[in-house]
Amino acid sequence: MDVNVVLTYVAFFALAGLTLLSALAVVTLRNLLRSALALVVTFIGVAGIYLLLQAEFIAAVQVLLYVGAVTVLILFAIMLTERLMEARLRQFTGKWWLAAPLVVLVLASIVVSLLGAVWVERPKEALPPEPVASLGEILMTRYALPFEIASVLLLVAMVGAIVVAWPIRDRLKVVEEMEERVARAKAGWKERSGSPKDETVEVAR
Amino acid sequence: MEVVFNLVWLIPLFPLLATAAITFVPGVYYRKKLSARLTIGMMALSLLLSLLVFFATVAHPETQARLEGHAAAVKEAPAGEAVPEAGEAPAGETRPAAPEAEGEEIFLPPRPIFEREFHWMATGRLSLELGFWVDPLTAAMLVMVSLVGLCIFIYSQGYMAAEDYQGEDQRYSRFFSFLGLFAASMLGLVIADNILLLFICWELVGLCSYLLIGFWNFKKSAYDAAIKAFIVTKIGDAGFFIGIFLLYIYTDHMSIGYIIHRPEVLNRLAHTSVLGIGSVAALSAIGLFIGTIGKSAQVPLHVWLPDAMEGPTPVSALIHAATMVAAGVFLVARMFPLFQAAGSGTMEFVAWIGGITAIFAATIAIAQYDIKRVLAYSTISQLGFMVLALGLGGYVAGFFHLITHAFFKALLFLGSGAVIIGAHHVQDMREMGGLWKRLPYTFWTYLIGMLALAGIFPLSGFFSKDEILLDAFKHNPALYVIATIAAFVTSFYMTRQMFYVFAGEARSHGARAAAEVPLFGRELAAAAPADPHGGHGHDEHAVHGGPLPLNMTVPLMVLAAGTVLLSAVGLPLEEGTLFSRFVGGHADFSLLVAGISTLVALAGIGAGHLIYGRNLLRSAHDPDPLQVRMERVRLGRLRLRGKTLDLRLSALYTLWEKKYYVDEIYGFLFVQGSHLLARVSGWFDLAVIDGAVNGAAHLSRLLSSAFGWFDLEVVDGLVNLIGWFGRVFSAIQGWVDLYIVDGLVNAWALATGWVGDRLRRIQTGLVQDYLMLVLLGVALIVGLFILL
Amino acid sequence: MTIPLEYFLILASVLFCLGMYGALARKNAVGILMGIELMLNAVNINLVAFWRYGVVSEFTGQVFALFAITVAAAEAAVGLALVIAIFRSRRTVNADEVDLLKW
Repeated sequence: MDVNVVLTYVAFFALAGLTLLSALAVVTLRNLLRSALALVVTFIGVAGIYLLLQAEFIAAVQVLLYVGAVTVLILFAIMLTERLMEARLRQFTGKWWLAAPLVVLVLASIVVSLLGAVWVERPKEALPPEPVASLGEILMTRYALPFEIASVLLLVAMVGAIVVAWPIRDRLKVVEEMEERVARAKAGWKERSGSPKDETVEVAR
Repeated sequence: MEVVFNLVWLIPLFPLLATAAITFVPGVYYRKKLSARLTIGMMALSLLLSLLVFFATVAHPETQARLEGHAAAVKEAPAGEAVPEAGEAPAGETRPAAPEAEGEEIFLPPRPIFEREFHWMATGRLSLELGFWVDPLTAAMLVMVSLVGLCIFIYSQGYMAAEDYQGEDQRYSRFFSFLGLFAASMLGLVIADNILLLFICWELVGLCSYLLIGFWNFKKSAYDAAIKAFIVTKIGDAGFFIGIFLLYIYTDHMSIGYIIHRPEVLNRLAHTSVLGIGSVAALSAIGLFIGTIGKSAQVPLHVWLPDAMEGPTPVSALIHAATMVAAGVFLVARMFPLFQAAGSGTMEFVAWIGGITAIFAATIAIAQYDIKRVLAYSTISQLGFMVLALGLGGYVAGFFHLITHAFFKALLFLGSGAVIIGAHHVQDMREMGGLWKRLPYTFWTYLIGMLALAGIFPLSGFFSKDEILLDAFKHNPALYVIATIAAFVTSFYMTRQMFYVFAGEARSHGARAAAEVPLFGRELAAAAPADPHGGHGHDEHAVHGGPLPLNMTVPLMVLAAGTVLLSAVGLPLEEGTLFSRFVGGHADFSLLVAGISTLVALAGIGAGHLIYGRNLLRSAHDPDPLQVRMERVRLGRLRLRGKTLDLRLSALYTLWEKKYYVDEIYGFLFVQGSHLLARVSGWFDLAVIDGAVNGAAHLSRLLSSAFGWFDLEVVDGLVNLIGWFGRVFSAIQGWVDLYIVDGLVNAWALATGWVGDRLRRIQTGLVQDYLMLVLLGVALIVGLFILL
Repeated sequence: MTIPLEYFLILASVLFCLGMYGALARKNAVGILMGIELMLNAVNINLVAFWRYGVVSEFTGQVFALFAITVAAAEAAVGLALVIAIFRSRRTVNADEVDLLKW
């Protein structure tokens, strides 16, 4: 057998094993902090799988975004809600025994239907010479609109996350300040324009 | 002309723009006058464009041919072909119509003269297209919706200013943004060439209805009514959705034209059976019709409409009289060939639902005191007339009545709103009276609307109702009798309302202070604007609000003019009417039926005059004269637990006043129903399953005594036999008593508790548990697939 | 490229089910979110694998994976913000103590 093929298989099984084992650790470890660290390993394993699939760009994004950003977020969340870290707290719901067989059942049904299907397998032999460039091009042309929408989504999520996580007391204070400022601006505007009858609230810039 | 048609999509867009501006631009949102004017202006643009589209449709060669077309020529035209239509611009507001070949064959409406489709989305082999089109039905509806809508928008300006509860400007703006959204979705529904788009707009209309009924959501009754309307119509929408799916599965098309303009498709649908239940055509037609039952408030899903009167009055006029409820009828008209292909059974079902609704709601209207509720039940009843006509194959009759009814019912509702505002928030008719002098514009326009509703010549209501009655007369005598009685009742309750509201002496402070701003000349002395923030009726004598402003009375006059002028297109010509030629249908006229219906309408008015006109109420606490009369008729006696009850005719009146107790019955059925379900399943467990075990034991005992009986019979013979029979009987009786009767009672109680306890535990409120249940469902479905 | 497509799909489904187990059995909300992240990763493996093995010669699979990652990032941000908000108001992030749905 070709050495390359053997190596590919070895790489695949090594990466798959790493991914799955660490994923198992993520869902079973009692200490949440350790789970989060195991999650990093999983993400890296998945990035390796992407490399194996010759999707370098996705692999890079995976490392940057998941390993770099999401994990940090999760660690922050864990530490901000400090009580969670204590390992002696019960970490699993009383129904994990019900969840486990159910999940196995779902897995079984997926695998059964997956193996029963006939796949039109035709690995692309020749990828474009510049895959990342092609990807960028298609993102900016055919998928330009979804791309823009995704950026809006990120913006909205950012604003939403800030608003949700902001303590209500602080939020109220800010709103009060803003209202005060608006009222002042309105008074000034009315004086200047001298139209007292207007029933509108003009928010001055 | 093509240019005009290409712009059709702008018609719904204009009001939508107004909504968007009010919602997203704070500078508009905070200026209430600006938002009202913006919405009205946009609506005016829509109306303008609608008129252009309409006249372009009229001028189209196909329409022209149908309009001028002598009956004969048109009749010869094969139904399947696009029947040419065109017409001289009719004098009135609506236009001519073309006759069509009816009869055994399925009637195919004229093909659209313009259609444009675009891809909405394509996933794999599935591709969805949306589009819009213009055909006579659309053109007529466009003008109706935008004209009536515009009148109501203008009216709302005055009305909402007077109804301003806490002087909240934003509420005012929000009201107009909802109105704009509503108009947009209704217009979109009309131009949709595709069931999916139609359904989307249909749901949007439902949403707006929810928002507007619950507009004063600080009133508990208002938001309850909103939720009720939403849920009840949703029941109907489920049927609609099933209908759409059936059609899509069997035709692979969402396009309406693909279904209704192709005899071969209709034929295939009519002869394909679904799971042996019925043909695709029949099932999908019934599905769609269930949607209509919900949206157009037909029995048994009519309960939401009267409650919807909790919304502001312009909303009642716009949504619950003129346009939204019309959507249901419009759907049937739109899919009419499908209903015909579905066969006579389906059509008859439709017709009977309509007929029952017509008489049912009309009788309830007799005994209501709230001015708007009378009109609400009247609307239900008139919608029943339309559905009845469509069910009898009267495409033109049903649709014409839809248009004329929109005008006069909007007129009546706006009139009632004017009365309410004019009489300073009095809604009970018993507290009104004598308003004809005080609110002359309202009175005269209301009178026109009332006469049109009653079907008095020569108002438009006369022609449209007459066509319906004629269809019933020709096809179904039983329904004809029902419809005629309903027509009688209609003119009776409208007369009652007129006397209550406008005649006699004012019976409350509010009514005494009513006034209007005159069309010409100076304002009345009393017209000095009263302090709008003055005492809100806390003080008996404090009356707030000034006279009715012109922007409330002028729309009434416009609508009244429309009501009168519309009859021009309903005039019977030698072949059909202008309207029937325009929409490509068939209309007849019969002097006999017209005479009978006029007599009936006059009789209703006469009876109303006899009972109400001669016995004007003196004070708001007087009983209803009709009830008093009915009280005098004793039908019989009931003996109940030693007491004797007189059964008087007024019991019927009470039944009407309580709306046949439908709300109570539904409350009982659906609230108690779930309890009952729990009980029944519990009973099944205890009585049947346990009973079976006990029964087996008894059986063996019986068997052994049977053997014993053989033994004894040999020795003691017949004497013992008789004794034994007695024993067996008593044993059976005892068993029945012990296990079935007692068991039932006990099981009932036990099972209720048991099942309730179990059911309660499913609702833990924990997300993960719900997720688990979802997963279980997925596993089950996948498992089923693998097994199959 | 000789590894059959099924290998990747099975890997993805196992990863997905592990994530689902985490989402179901973890008690605290951050743990549940981690499970969901695992599920999203599994989906992405599928997308990329199908892109690599599919007959369509464009980059659609990768583009979809990119969008999925974007959405997942947004989801993580909002989800964790929610966790913090819940923690702040109820002093707990245990999913089995937050049962406002049962009213």
